[in-house]
Amino acid sequence: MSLETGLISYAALVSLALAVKKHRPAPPLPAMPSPRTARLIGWLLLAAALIVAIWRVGPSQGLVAWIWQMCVAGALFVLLQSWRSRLALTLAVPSLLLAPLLMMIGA
Amino acid sequence: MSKAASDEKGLRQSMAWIHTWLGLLAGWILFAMFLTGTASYFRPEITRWMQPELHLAPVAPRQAAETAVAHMQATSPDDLQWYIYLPDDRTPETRIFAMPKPDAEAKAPRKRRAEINLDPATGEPLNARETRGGEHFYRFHFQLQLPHPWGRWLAGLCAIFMLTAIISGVITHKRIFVDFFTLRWNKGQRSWLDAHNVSAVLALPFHAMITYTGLITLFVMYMPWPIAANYPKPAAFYTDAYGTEPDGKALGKAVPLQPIGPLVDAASREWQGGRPRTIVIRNPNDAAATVTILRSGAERLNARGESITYSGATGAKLTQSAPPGPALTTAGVMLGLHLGNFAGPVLRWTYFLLGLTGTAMVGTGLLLWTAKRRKPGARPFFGFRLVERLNIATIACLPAGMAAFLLSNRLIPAGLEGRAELEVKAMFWTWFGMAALALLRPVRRAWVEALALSAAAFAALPLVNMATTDRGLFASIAGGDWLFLSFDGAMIAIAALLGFGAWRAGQVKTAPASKRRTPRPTAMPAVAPAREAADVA
Repeated sequence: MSLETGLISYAALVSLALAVKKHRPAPPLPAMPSPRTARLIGWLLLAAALIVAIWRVGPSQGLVAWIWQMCVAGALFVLLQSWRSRLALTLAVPSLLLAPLLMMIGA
Repeated sequence: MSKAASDEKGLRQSMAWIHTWLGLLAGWILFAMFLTGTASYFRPEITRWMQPELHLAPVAPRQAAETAVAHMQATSPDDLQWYIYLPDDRTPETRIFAMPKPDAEAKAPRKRRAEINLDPATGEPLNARETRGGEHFYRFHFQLQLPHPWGRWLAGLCAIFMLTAIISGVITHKRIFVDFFTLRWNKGQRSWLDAHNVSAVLALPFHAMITYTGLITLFVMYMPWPIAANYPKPAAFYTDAYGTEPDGKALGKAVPLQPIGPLVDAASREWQGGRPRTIVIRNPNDAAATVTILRSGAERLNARGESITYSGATGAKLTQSAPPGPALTTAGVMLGLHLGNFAGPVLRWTYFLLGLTGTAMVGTGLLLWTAKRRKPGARPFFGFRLVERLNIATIACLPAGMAAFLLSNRLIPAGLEGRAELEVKAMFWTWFGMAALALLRPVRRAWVEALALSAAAFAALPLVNMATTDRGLFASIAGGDWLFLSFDGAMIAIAALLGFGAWRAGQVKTAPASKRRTPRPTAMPAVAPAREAADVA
């Protein structure tokens, strides 16, 4: 049981937040996708998080891990975003990069 | 059009009413249930922390079973039943509950004997301090420290209220998706509403699951009538449902018990390597002896494990639990989802954080009730003051009680008679005592002081642990003692969280009249001002 599904979910939720006008930072972040693209990326990443979870621990536990870690990722994102909005959004990149790394070392 | 709109409005209003009042009525108990339940995800780990003198190496199930049976054969071979919990990854010791044969003469109800704890490697009784351990939080979470049926009934009632509050809350919440990621600080009532919404909505699947499965876990108790209507004796239902044999009677003919090792191996083979977790030996050393081996639930979602029963006299396989039907599987999976025993470390911490989110949801809901009704300048009505005081008693004082339970484990002498009960008393005296003392202080000061005391109690735990055991923080780092290291880390984090709460509660007072800025229209981008405010604060 690992963290990668939660890490991907975090990036997915950031992406979905970027699709909402009021959550887009005022001076835009570098390489920030348009709302439409951000929404598409968000949903695709959520699906990817599900696939990764199922691939790692099988369908029943994978589904549970996917939903629970998505919930925690969402809560952490909102907390962080209410304090340091740009940091919360930017963290999506390292968290997305960390996920395949964890998968490779099989931790 | 207008008819439909006003119907919808009427529905929302009545749902809001239900949400407000059922939530308030059950809120304090629910907060305590959520918080202690959250701690219970680390039930075995808390027990291990509370017996720091134990250093046990992991042992294979077969060896643990052999040493356990050898111990029981040597000490009480004529018991009615031995219930043996083998050690696993999380509980390193063997735990045995033995039941003596009923005394035909004595009319007194059979006394339950104390739990026996063994070193699984040697079968020697463990010499560790007496404590209820993590079991205390777990039991409190659904029995509320009340006499037998009442605690569970009250917990069930609160769970029903919680479920109602979840459903009515979702219907009432007009802007679930618009406000999905919205949390604004320093805006008084608006902030509490945001915090309540975010903690509820983001973890909604968990809240709905945990409430529903919690209720379902005790459904046979809450709704005994279907079984009563269909079975003359409830025991017949369990035989039907779980395939367990009705308890056999001893024949009175002495036959030595078969060695346990080969039976454990046989069960493990039948489960293709599945791990045996529990062994129930009935009528040992009798011709009618049975050995039932239950499978560990640690690998699967379904918490109800399979079992195989062997004859204790011949070693032959007698029965095997039938593959469970859809209803039993559903019940087992629901129980499994609630308990989270299948979860590895990462998922268990996830469960823990989700539990904290649930606690936050209940707590912010309680605070929102007062935030909505607070009128600056006016003298608050009695109900308002009551709710405010109960909020302090629950949210700010319960954590101190839980810390006191852990602190007393280190401070009460390890050999003292009846110390386990004293630990439990320490929790409730601290909790209720602090709540009573808080009545003497003005509300704002009471919040700050109670939260600060709770924070201090948790911050003291790593220090007291370092002073009273040889497993302090630095020793844990040096020795790679992950359990104690994580425990110290968690205590420091909880202390920081409570300290932050105390600091914020103090901030509100210094902000003159807390009306520096009128609430902006919600459509404005609120992120940037909120950030400024956070930076200033």
